[in-house]
Amino acid sequence: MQIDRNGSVRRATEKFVSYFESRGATRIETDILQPAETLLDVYGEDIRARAYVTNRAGDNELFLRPDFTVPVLKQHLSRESKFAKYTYSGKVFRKQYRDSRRPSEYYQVGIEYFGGENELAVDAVVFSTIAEALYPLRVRAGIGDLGILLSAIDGLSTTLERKTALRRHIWRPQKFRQLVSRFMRPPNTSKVSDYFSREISREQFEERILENGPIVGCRGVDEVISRLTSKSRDNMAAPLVEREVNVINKLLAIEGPISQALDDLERVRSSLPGMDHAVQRVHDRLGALEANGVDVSQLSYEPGFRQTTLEYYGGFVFRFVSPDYPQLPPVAQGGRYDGLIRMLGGEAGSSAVGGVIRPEIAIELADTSLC
Amino acid sequence: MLKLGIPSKGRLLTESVKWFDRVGLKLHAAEADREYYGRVQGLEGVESVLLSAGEIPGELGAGNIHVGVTGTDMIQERIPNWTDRVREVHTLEFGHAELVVAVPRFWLDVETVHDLDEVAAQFRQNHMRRLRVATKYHFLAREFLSRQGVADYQLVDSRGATEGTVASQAAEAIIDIVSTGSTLAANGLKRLSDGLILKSQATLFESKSAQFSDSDRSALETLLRKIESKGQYRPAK
Repeated sequence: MQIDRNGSVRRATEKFVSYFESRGATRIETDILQPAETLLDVYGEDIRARAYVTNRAGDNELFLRPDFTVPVLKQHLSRESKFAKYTYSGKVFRKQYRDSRRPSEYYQVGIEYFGGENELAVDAVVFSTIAEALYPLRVRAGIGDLGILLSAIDGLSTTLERKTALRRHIWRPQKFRQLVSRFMRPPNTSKVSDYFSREISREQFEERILENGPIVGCRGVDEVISRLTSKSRDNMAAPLVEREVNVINKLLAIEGPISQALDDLERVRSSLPGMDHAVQRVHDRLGALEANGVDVSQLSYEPGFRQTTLEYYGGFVFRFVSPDYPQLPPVAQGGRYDGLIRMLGGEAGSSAVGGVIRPEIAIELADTSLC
Repeated sequence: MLKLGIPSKGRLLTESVKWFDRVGLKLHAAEADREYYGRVQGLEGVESVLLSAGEIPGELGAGNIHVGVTGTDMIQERIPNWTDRVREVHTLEFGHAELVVAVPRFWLDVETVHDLDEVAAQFRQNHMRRLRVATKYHFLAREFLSRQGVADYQLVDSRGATEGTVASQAAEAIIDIVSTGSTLAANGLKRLSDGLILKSQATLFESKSAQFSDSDRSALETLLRKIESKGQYRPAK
């Protein structure tokens, strides 16, 4: 743990919070101990490798707050208002390996904006508010948009099941690529079950399944049959079109100055249905950023965001890094996470964008830029 | 004194005692004696310490013992980045077991880890909760499933017989150590074809953080020579 010896972290934190308040955000508090259930549902078991787990005696598990987004969103959903702008600050806790030099606890100051008619405008406001808060630090901003990849997947000439599988693994690059190559295989009719091809009855099929072993556990025979059926259907599905896979691969490789990224996007714009709209949104968002005073020519495009373990971002993502100290973690980052609202029981179609600053990194950058 | 950690009970203890006996070392800390620190006959400057097999990784990692016998599975489960902390000295030719992913045998639709991931998605949709995988090996299980791109699962801790958790509806699948596979079959379970997480066996490990005096170092070298001369020497990979 770093000790805030002269109160500089506290002062920086307070400065950021006040700034966000001056931009219309309401201060909100969250508990440090967070129920494990929701966080596990959102992040999956991987969060255990990164968060501290504890518990009340004889009670459910609790995590030391690994981030603010989930608890802030939960509080928001328990209130009446659809539109809200929040700011918060405090420590988050992340498990590190014994010899790691990364801190296990550090401060975050953030904003979360919920609702808003014009999504692109809200994206731009959140981004520029954080950019202004960081001024005058020397930082480089990178942006990305998962919406482009999601649109490309939607536009593939393949089954709904395969699209769903690809979307589900969009945050796991290795698995995603494995799925793509699996779906490129030619159909295999020998793997189609004789129940599917109506050669045997359901009763006969059930009997055959039970010859393999007793029914144990909560997953039922009907679920096994239902999946054998969808597997059979999948084995007959036409392979992914190579030209379309090339588009996906190109999208995954786009990286660098924004002008070059826009050229690359232009080249694939008409290659899949829906892409035109997604690319137009990137242009429109840049317009919205410009209208908020952002010098968009200086932005870089970074698809690498989708490799993060923050599985809830589903559209616009951004981060600010130091060009002078690239080994430091991003001083700020954020993005759009509409999907998380649905997942936690909120209204479909709701809008959520947010971002956090790490004041300790900001101080480090401020100290070094004095020289 | 060179401290040698030995599993304190069960087959691992008796097999260890036998193995060191063949090498020419009499371990005095036998189970019946309830003697937790013991002299080692046949080698000067070595002291045996009886510890539960699960404690030996931690003691090696912390440098409280110089060498110790335990399973590869225990080491890899209990010490993150284990190669930084301990070194494999010898495999001991017993305690063979495999850590595997197993599911009900009647799951005719599941052969591979990829199938398990698809089932996890289906299960979450149908049951409104994540598919439960019971295990005692949380670290290795999570690392394996995460590397294989499995999502929508939940690890549940099994204290007792992991194989029984599916039948008792405490889990849908398990990750556990198997040796012959007959226990799996008896519980209506089967291994996934690509669900082997690691092959484990009893192994002599050396701590990288323990303080070795000159006499500790020479005692260890003598121990290694004795093992070698008895033809027991199997250099670890």
